[in-house]
Amino acid sequence: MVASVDSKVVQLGTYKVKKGQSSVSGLSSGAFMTVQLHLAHSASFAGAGVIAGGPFRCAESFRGAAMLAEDAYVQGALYICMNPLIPQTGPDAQRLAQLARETAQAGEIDDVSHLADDRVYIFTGSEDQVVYSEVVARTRSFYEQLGVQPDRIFYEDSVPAGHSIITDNPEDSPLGANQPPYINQGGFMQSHDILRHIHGPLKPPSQRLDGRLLRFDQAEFFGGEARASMSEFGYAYVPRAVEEGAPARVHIALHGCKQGYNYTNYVNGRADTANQPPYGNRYVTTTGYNHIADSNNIIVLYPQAEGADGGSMQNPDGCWDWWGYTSETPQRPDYYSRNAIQIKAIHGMLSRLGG
Amino acid sequence: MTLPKTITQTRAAAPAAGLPALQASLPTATPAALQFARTLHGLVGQSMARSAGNGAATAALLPMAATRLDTWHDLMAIQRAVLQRLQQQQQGWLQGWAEWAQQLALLKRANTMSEHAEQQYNLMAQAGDLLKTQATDLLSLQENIEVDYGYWVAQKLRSAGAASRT
Repeated sequence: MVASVDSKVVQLGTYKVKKGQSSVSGLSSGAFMTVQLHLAHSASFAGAGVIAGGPFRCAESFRGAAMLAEDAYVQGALYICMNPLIPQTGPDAQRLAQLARETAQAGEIDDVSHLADDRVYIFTGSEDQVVYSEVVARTRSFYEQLGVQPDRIFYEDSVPAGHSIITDNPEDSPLGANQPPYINQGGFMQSHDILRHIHGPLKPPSQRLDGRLLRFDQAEFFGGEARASMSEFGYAYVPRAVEEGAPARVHIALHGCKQGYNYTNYVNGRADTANQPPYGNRYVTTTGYNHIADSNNIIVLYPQAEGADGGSMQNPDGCWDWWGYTSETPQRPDYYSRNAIQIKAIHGMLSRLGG
Repeated sequence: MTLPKTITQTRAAAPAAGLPALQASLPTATPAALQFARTLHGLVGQSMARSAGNGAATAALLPMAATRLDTWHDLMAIQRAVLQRLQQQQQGWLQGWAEWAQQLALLKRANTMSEHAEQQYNLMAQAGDLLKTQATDLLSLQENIEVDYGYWVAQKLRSAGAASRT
């Protein structure tokens, strides 16, 4: 199941990608970023997969939470968009959908009308203690408010899973676990379900990978700027048929916090580099995306975020930005827009691939 | 998992009347220690401001919502949720201390003085971690209550205001 990467660092190439048919999915902060990317560039996508993620701009639900905007958004993220005390103190899907429409009217994201024919997979584990199920339920409502038909939304909330992406790898954590590496064994490959829901019936996953897992220079897509909180390298799986010229689709798979290749656990506030190697490419190689992509001419793109905790940037867990930490003006954050440094970088990668 | 669990304010709070006095009393404070003091001052002040704001908003809400059953239903639900979280936290702490006590009771064979010393320090560090978890869990719950209550009241005021305009 583990694909190896050769030691080269390449420049991300261009392939025969069908425009407008790409897709994106993610876990946790990757799921929040999935919704942001989906909304920002809805013209580029046919659908999205959201595992344990909340609605668009959820962190801005309550500006009154604190005097400083950046504090208010962190606290909104934690206490409204992850662990609300009761459903009534969770995100307001109707208000956030209206905010999304206003954001589109302001020209910051694509017109929301592109969402109407998209297909969306939304999952929350019933044992998830990190992002509560009532938050993820609002994500479904959010998409419905924006015109996605209910029969195009797959919503699952009865699997007794913890905060994780689910696999059928025997060595992964127990299904109900809520701890790193947030990859839990549940007897099925969730990545396969996501792609099948978005793209319709697919060929069975390959038993043996035939393509190439590339390590590419990611820094060119964010200008090497530290505030992007992104790593030097990204990964992409390219099926052999696609390399040989077959038409392809792109699927962007966004890891969650503590799952980027460069993540090292913090112990008592310090990165424990003396005892632990970085997380590595486990999310890239063991979550099953590559095997179903291989047999269906799908390029899987794995952008990588990385932790930073010093000065004004607080992102020690290497999360994707869904509360504004990359924004140059905290009072008017732009982490959700087409111009956001991370969204611009990821869409730049998609464009380079040909999508 | 999706956010850092500790929130540190790295930007200095707006100058307050007490700040020069603080600086005078810490002539040998390093810049980092001063930043820490300012951060703590700022965050505690923020919590107090939030409580004051919540009080004022509640006073504004009560005349409009006092007779509404859903308001009282929500308040009871919030109370139950807080109690449930406290119970869960307590269970977690008790389990943690029970495991620590088990470790303490098990005398592990040490072949060297350094290994023996390491075992003792490990127990102390684990106790420290348990205390840290208890403190941060309680503070987190406090902030959770303040933010959620303030958000809930703001939503109620908004919908009450919208209803009065129709």
